[in-house]
Amino acid sequence: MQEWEARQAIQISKLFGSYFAAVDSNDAQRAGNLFAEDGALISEVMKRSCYGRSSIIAFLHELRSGWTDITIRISPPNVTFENEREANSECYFTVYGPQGLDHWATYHDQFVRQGGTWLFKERRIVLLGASPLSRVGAGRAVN
Amino acid sequence: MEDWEILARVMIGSLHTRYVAAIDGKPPEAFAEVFTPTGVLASGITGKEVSGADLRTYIGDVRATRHEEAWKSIRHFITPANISFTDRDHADTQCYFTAMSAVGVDHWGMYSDQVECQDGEWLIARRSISLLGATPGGWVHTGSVILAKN
Repeated sequence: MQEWEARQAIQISKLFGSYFAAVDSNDAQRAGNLFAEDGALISEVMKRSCYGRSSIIAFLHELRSGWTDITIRISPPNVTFENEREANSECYFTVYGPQGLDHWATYHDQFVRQGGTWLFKERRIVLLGASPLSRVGAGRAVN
Repeated sequence: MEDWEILARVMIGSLHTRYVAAIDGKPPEAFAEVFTPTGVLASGITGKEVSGADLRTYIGDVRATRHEEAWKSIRHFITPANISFTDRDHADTQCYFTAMSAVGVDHWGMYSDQVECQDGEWLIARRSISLLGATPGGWVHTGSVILAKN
């Protein structure tokens, strides 16, 4: 990792922090604004693909307004840079609910730097496992 | 905190995530690339201490012990590291990890590292892996993970 990459990785860490603060407080608008205008959120966990910021905001609102008692914990992301304006990462995460561990999965992210700010260009969520009582396992996460 | 230390901390964090990527799915050769040429891995889980060329085959040997389908997709979730610098090119780090299989937590433990900066790149000089616990019936708890002793 070169010095410029380390400096930009700090900015991408900030993006991660902002995303989870917004999502876990059910603020879909704030979370959605962390995506590029033409960004994508592809959730293989929820079997939904959203293209464009407004579609992402609508999905996050639908998802988290009906599922408010969960929180997300992430493992540090493995960030690699294509250039000074494009980067990728993979990041594991666990989701906990009132009954404990709910499910665990991977974020596969593409980032784009626009106007000096890093945004999600694409976030793809791939499920690794779920507890037997999880809504994810039962396919009832979004209704 | 000085600028060099901020950057070094980010780079060491990146080293840790590269290690995880290497053990969780990259080709086995990628594993050796996160160690110095004389780097050592001492695992209290597999019972092996390996270095040099043996690092190139180690992960393949470990993966071969995952007989159950649920163990084949084991992923290592790590925490941010506690980093203590000896000087600008050397540091000691510790971080916890949780290994998740397809059916839940398999085992958990700690990585204790000596890391070095060589030609601008931070690498692992020595990693010691301590087992803190394992779920009954899992890959580690059943003893399936144990490799032949040196």
